[in-house]
Amino acid sequence: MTTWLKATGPDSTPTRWVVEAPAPAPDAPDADDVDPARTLDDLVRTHLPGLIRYATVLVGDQHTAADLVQEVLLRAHQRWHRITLTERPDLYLRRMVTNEHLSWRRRWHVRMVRPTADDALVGHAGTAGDHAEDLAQEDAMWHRLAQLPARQRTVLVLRYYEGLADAEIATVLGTSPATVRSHASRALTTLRDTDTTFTETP
Amino acid sequence: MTQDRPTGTPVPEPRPGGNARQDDLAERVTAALRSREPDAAGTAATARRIAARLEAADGRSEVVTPFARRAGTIAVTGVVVSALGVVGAGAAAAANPYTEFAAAVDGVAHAVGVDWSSMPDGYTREQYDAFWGAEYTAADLEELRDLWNVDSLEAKARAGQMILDGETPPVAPDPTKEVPFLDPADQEVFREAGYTIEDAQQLAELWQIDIYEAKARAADMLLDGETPPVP
Repeated sequence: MTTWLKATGPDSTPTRWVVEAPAPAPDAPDADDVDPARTLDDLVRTHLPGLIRYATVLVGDQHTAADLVQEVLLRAHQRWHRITLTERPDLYLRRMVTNEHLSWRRRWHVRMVRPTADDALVGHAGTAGDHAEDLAQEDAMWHRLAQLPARQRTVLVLRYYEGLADAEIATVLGTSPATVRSHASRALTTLRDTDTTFTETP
Repeated sequence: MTQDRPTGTPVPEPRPGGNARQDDLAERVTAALRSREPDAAGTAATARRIAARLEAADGRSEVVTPFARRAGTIAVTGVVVSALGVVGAGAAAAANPYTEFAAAVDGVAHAVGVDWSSMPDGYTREQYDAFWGAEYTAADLEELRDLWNVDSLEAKARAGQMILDGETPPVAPDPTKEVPFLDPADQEVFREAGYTIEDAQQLAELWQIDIYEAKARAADMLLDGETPPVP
């Protein structure tokens, strides 16, 4: 396929990286022969729930996330079957969602990562902890995460929520693993410096 | 944890050079992020709604308009007044969760459960439904974005409001139009450099390529510090 992804070469010179679809197996149908209906079903069942969860944690609001995911998937409408043939369609889809999110954040200045209502937090208590103190600490951390620069926050979501390796995060963001580590380091330093629960030990 | 997560697991792993304090911070970041994870039912409902839109774009079913959905909602509401009807409707939707019928069932749940005031200022549920309900496609949205030189949210909000006000947006919905794919980052580079849709059209003619590829190529040139050859 001929989709271009931004990447950084070994010499740190910005280059373009063409993501080649994996070679089809001898009995595999050509990309253009794939049944679009089956492709859509596969995409929806395999990737859509995870993509919605990622987008929700990324933007902080489930309805905005749903709108964002719908929009990028509609835009990629003609390329669903090609996307599913890429080596890592999950990363490709997250790249699309991430780009759209970062673009929205830049251009829609009133958009903020919104705090979740208290009742919603209570609803998450089963997975996040049973104590009010835990919830308060999570809420405080969430607000500090929301204050981070967008790309730093995105790196943390991809690393600590999605569980991606730095090289995979670099693919999603179209940058180098070194830049990913730099974003993560700065973000963690900021979180540590603004964390009143940490006490310096000699 | 949800089982169908396609990527890694959201558990912080020890990092090279890490220490107990860093690991503790990582765990707390993970917990804070997971606290905002949507529950399984909410995720499934959202997936069904998006899948219905994708199905419609794929030409596999009738386009789900707000009006059709309202009609379906009324019909389903008539069913769910009986306990037996609830079981029947739920079972039918579960059997094929990506049908318009499932979307209608989903609409019932969301008619009482969704607070659209959480959407960004200036963008309402009514505008959203009006825009997509008029059968606009992503290609049409791209045209509106270019025409008004705004982002997609604002384009949808503005066009949706025009429809609600009885006005006609300057781009008519065209379901047959091929949906373009242009990396939003490239789109933004092109637009923020001051280029317009007319410039993209001229470049497309010059390079004998389609307008979206022209924008992408021009964005490449701009990122490389070059100037696109707009006549």
